[in-house]
Amino acid sequence: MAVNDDYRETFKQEAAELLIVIEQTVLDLEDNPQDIIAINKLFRAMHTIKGSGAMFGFDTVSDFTHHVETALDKVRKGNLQVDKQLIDLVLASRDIIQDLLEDEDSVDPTVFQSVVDRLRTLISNPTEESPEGSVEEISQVENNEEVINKFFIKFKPSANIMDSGMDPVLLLDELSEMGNCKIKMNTEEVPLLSDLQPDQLYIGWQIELATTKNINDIEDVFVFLDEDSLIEIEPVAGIAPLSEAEEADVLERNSLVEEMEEAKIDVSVPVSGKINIVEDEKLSKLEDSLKAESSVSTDVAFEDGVVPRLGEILLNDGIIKTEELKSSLDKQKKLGEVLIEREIITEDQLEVALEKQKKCAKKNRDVVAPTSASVRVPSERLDKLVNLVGELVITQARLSQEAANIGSIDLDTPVEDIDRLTSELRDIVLNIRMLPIGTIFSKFRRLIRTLSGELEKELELVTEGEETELDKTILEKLDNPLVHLIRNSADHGIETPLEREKAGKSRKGIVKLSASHQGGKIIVKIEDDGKGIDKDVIFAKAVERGLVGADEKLSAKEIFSFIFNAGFSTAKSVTSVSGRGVGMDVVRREIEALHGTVQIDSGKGVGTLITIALPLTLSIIDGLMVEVGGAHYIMPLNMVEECQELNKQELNIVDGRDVFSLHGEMSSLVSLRKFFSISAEKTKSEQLVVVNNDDCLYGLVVDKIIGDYQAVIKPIGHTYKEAEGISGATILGDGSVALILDVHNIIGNIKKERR
Amino acid sequence: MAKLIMTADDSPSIRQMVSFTLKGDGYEVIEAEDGQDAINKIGATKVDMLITDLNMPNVDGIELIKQVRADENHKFIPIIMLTTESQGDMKMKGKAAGATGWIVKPFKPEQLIGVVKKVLGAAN
Repeated sequence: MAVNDDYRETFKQEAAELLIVIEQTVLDLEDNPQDIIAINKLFRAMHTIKGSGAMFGFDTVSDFTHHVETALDKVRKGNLQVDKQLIDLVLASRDIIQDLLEDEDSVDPTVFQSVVDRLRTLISNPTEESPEGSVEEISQVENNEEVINKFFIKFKPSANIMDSGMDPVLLLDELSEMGNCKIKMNTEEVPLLSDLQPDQLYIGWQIELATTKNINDIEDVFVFLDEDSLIEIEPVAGIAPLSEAEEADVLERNSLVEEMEEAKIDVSVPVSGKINIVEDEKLSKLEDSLKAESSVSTDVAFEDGVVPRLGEILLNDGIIKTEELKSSLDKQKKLGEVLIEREIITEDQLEVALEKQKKCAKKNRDVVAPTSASVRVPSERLDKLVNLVGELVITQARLSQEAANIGSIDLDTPVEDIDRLTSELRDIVLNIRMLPIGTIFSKFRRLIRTLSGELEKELELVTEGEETELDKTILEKLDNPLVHLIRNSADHGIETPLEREKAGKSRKGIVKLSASHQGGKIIVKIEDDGKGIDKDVIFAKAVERGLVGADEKLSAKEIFSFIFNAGFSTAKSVTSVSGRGVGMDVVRREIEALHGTVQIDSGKGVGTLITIALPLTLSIIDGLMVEVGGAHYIMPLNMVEECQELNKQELNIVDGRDVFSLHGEMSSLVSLRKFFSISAEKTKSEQLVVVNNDDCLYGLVVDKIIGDYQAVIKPIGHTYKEAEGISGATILGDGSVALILDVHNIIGNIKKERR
Repeated sequence: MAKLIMTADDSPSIRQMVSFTLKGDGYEVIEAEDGQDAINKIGATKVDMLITDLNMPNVDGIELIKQVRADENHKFIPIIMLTTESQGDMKMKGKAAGATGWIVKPFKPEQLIGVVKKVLGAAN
């Protein structure tokens, strides 16, 4: 069977997730090198990549990972220290695995070889065994020779063979399929019924087999047999035919075996007086007693179940014997006893605590692993689901409208129900696409680590709000701008350790990355405690470039926003002071493509704060529907501060721009009619929507405010891509199209015009 | 009714491969993501065979084998462990815990079927 491409894809996805885990865990390990849980986690992840990789044809990945795994195994066993060298190496290996998975040819052979060499050196006695050809036990070598071999086989399974789940009959069947086979049963050892233990096997077989297979193939049949079972395979020159009596025995075999099988199933009472399970049962009992009461048991040991206990390690290494361990443990006093002896607790208190512990242990067993509740779904299916829900929302809007036209009370209730259900469904479906932002945060830890090496600065990344969830698409596109901003912070924001000491700061510079929900928006902040940006320099530069008049009074935020202008950063004076602005226009463009906004705030010598605000989703927004010149427009509801009648007396013209007074302050006014050059006749009364853009309030003048509306965002055609002030379109209940306003862009345009 | 096999592995791709292969041969398959998941599911359903990875989070393969063997309903079912060549000692541990046999990774679908037939017989 050819290796199925589906498996390969699944494996790649799985490996990608494991690589994220590996990176995170390695960095955790660097902070806390003794963390045995992290080491085990790391080992397991590498182990899975190795094992599964080989299964699905990623042989290079598997072979390479084998080295890393061996090194980690040494760490696990305490034969290798976790140090910077190891961390670097594991990280480098992780990157190579990632590249190998992507495209084996993309990996630089010299880099590859150097990492392999370093790994080999680390593993002091490198094992030369190759992971290939390891299917020793079950290899089914094609035997082309048509020579018929004859064998005499003696097979006496151990009495307790069925305890290991082995069914000898299947082995006999397998032999029968290999060629001409005669089987004779030995029943001498079957005891009297009163002595018979139903789960023990008392019979054995003698088999004569004429087959084209060789002795290895026959040995393979018995590969899983335990040591206590007897198996002898002898090649013979000729086979004597079985006597008639013996033939009868063979037939009898079938009926007896059937009986045995029934007996096997019917055993429902645990058999007493078993003598076969020896060491293991003792050991597991020992383990249980350790778990339940021993004073050395800790939460850590419970958590993963893989941390070996001291006794186990000593036992494993052959330093002590089981009996010695057991007798020593028996001598060990339990914590409860010690505490009572020292009169720290009373017996009653101990009992209550033990009862609690029991309950916890039970709970631990009952708890379903949290991961098991999740289902893996291809993201295309999710996209399709979101689209369908979008269509449903549109249809629902149409239904509501039609129902309103008909005006039937009977229709109202179900239509309202559908309305409610649709919005619930919408929320849930959008929620499915949400991923915690922490999945990309972890990547930045690595970035900061690399940067501190490159820039010779002491850097630390602090993250907050990793659990904040964002739409998958937004998350993916957020990656680039964030990398850029963090690089800037580390490179240009944070000073060298020496400069920091002079400025009275700690040597270590801190870059803080945080995410949070703020009323229908996701706020992502990148903050550093570096040297900050001098706003006077920025302002002077803006004046020089003619972006603003020298006498204009601007807020700090407005001044800093010049940094996002294309080409602004190339100016020498800025880079020499702060270095900010390199490619910041690209950052802004990328954030705006996600319907988000980005702002800078900075204090000279104190640090810089960059705030990114993003919508929760890109596909459906809560909007406010307005009407201008008979056409409908939608603006994002989260930008709307308030709605009011336009009172002509409050209008004014200052410096050639329309303003109105809002709560005693002057705010700019934008007429959508004017902005879109709508020629339709003006309505008698106009209304005003007050929107918040970058913390400044503006008034948008419309004919009529219609109300809130759930808009499914549809992209607009190529022809309209460049149209100013529009970010998309939506289909209304009656099938007509409403444009979605890009308020940010509209206000930006008005500002530009003013200059 | 077709025989029901449980595959316990924390690697989705292995689970998928095992499951797909066995279903192709007429077995029914139930998947478990780790030892604890397997124990929970085995508590609720009687399975005819267990194929388990050894290195798993929460409850590892060895412990899982022990617990399954201790369960009256599953005392005699065949248990196959998936192991890698670097884990020779694990094979012995698994055997001692009650595993019927093992398959060494990497393996091919035919090999998997071969082993399942050996210890469980045909699907029906």
